[in-house]
Amino acid sequence: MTAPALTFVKLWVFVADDGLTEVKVLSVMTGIIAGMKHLVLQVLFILLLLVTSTTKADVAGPTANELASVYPDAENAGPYQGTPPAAEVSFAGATVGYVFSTASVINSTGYAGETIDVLVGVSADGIIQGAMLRKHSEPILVIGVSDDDLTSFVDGLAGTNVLISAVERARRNPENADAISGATVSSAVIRDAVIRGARTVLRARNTSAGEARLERLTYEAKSWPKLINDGEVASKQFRFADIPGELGYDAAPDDSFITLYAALLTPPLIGGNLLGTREHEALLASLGSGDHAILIAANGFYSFKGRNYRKSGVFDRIQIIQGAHTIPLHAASYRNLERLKAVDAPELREIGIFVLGADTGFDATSPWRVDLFIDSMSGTGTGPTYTVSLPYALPSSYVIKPVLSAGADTENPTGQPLWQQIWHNRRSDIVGVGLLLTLLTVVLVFQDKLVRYRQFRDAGRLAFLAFVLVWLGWYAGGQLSVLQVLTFAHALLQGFEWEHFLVDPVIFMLWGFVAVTLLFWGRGVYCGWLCPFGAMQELLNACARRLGVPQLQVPFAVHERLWAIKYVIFIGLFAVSLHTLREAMVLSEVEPFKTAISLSFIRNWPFVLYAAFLLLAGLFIERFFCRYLCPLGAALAIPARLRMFNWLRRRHQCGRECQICSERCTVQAIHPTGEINPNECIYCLECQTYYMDDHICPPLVAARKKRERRLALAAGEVVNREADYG
Amino acid sequence: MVDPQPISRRRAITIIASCCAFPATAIAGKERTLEWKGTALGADARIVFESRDRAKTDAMLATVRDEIERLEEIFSLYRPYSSLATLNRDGHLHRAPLELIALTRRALWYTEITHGAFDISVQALWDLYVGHFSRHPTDLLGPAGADVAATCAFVGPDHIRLNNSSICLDPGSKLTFNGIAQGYITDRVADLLRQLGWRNVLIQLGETRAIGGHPNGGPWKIGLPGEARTALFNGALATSSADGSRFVTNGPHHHLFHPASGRSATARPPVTVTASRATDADALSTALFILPDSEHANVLAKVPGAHIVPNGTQS
Repeated sequence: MTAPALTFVKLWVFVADDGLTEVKVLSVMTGIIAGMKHLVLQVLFILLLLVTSTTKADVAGPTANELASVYPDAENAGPYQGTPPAAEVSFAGATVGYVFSTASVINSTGYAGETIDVLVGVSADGIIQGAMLRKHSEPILVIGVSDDDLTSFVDGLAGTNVLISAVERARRNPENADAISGATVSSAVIRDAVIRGARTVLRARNTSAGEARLERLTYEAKSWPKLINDGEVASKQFRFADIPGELGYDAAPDDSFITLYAALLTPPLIGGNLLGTREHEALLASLGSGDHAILIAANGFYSFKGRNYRKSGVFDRIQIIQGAHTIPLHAASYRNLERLKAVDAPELREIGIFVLGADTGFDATSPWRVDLFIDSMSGTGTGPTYTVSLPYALPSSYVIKPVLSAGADTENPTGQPLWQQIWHNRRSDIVGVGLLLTLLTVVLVFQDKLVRYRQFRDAGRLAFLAFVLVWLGWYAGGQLSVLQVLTFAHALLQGFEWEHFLVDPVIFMLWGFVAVTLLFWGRGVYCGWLCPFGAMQELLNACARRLGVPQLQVPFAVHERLWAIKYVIFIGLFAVSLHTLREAMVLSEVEPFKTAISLSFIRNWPFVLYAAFLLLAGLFIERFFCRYLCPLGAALAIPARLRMFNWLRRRHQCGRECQICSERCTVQAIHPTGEINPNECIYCLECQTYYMDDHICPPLVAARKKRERRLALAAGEVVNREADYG
Repeated sequence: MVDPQPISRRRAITIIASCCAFPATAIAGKERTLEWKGTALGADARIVFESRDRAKTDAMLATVRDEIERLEEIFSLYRPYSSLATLNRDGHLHRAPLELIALTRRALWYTEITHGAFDISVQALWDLYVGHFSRHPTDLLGPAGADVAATCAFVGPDHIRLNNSSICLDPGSKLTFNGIAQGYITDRVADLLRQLGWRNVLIQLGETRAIGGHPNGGPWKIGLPGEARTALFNGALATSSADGSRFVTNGPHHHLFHPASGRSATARPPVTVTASRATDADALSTALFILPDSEHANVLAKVPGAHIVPNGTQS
């Protein structure tokens, strides 16, 4: 307690829905300081910072039913324990895999900073056996995704190999759905949690998943030239010209001194082809665990075996080098081979199979080389010696690389965090939203100029709204929701992390734009220009008017009172969200956004009926939903009072001598007394076109008529004068 | 003596604008001349090469570092479990590395052609002198004659027996490869790089070996003790000097012992030898420093392509 005066601690006791009493502690001061960074939106919630909750992930061990669904092959599961906690799953007495909860292993959290819990079964070799979503409070998961989609997506994770990279996974299994359409972010969050959790569990349990492993399953017949060509057999020819003259060899420089061949025999595809499958299986059977066999063969003048090994038991002309490590070759681990079985293999002068025991430290997946020592011609051993090397690198298809090394926790091979990958993948959407917002900014900055061209404004606005509805709403998923406001409030209270908000770049950009325009122009810029559902209502209403559907003018006194409904809805949602975000999420279905925009009306009929009702009402009362019900609009309207500029022009005659604007305002946001209500205004600029129109705005009309009269008078005078002189 | 403590090999590759005598003629887009610095057997190591491929360069330098590390594990006197240290401590080494066997054989041949002037078994004398001067740091006379004579009994090729996989030493005898191993490591790394396809590389791992010439054209110009320089193209060069390791500053005793007398060889200017391989240049420069000038021609005649570089050569 270093600064008790600064730290106002408030204790709040809630009884949560699961019956557990949670003690919710808040340091208002810390909250405010943290919130300073996000000042603009925080203004929204500064009053509500009084309450917070620290939710502990309460994750129980897997029940028998859960176990059966996430690890169908499991015979038995041990207790849920260890760090990170996981239940060992056994089959026939041996541990075959683990069951864990992503919440307890990697504390998987999402958008709202609240727990996502997926129960996962993973085998020791990194294959997901099954997964089930146990708990989530993710608005981003709810918007745009039906529960069935979500369940089938999570079920579909079974069979995923968590140890290979995303790229490799896609290569091996291109049909596997990577995401639920319309909810790519949600899918990515879940997938990331499952894979990262599985890797964490496997790494901590020191399974073989931590090291690069050798692919030892595949076999296909392969000819010698192809084995050489694909690098499974390394070869190199040394001519006499390559051997230093001091060694005293005297022959035509282009003659072959020695052609060396080397290969790793352990993988069936290589060993089976070179030795014949039966021979290869016999060889493998003779190897201990961790042992490997290599083949060294040669043609030409020089012998790599020499003669001394028979007596001394040591090959004194060849050795294997791996990194800084020397592996000598001994006669005891050597077997002569007369000929190779691979198709089209040449007759070779010398072929040897060498077993490299696990104790030699030989790593089959790393590159190695054969060093051949060449004595002088004299053979006395006292002359200069020369060494030639044949490098061998196992083709990468034989190496199963772990993606477990540090920094490789994310799906992307480059180790980018999830949100950066998403931004990268959606860069065309980001550019589109950027252009859209730039265009809108230009419109707002030059509004006084633009509103002079009435036809242009009308047509341009309809085109803009159509684009917002079709591209931003239906295509790019750019529909804001009151849930994001609630989520943001929760995040501020529970530890704000940019990353949670960055996972959807379109939503993030829109909110950033809203934050700025809220201060400059008020809430209307979003509601009137960028909300896809708002655009849908306005476009439908425009059609209705064209078809002659009568518009209802709500008496202002009634209208004014109906405004209040949306604020009540918003406050209600906020209050519920403080209790549980999940309930608020259900209640937020009062917004038809998910039905109409995210799911394009492909949803259960009650939801569609509700959305259709709102749109129908909107045919008679323009933006019926916006005016009276929209909790997002209410949330934006509250801080809209703080806007710093008032760029909507009025005259002193407005409301006193003239009611044209207030009667024609499409959302009746202009009081009969003349002032524009910034809480209700959608900034459509309709009133501004009247303001500039000298055929509509009475003071302008009067001025114009006066001017015309004067001109007519002047013209008349001229005529008269001409007449006089005529 | 060489400081045995390990020196970090993580040295940056520095782009050198010019290499000694060569003015920089780096043209944009052309290959860049790069220099790697590290250590090998305790001495400063350096490789100059040209490359524009970062991945290829990194792979090559990793190979170089691994190879130096691997050979130090065999030839270092200061690593307690190197093959050589094990041999000196136990007096025998079975299944000795091929490099140790090959280089011992070659060293014994040099002992033969230099009539004993080059000898890898002088390590016992080194131990005697180090022990003496650690007790008497300013003594100019050196160890007592009786002690030297007694130690000389452990020196000589007859105390070494080897076959194709084992080496045995007589009790009291110890080997040092400091007169030849640096040249050998230089050769091994050079041969490796050449087989990997590198051309125009200067390798200085204790001794000097050139693959081709300078990337800018012409031979490499190698600085000699003093002001002199000599040209080197596709060959090796080694210098032996008493100044390298005197036991007492300006004293008469240094590391180049005359194996027969057990005393440091008579003071003389440094001796530089060129040969096609650094192993030979290294051994020859050591031997010729100890041998009187009159013997030099005889010895050089037995190694084709080897020459002594006259002091004061300018090229």
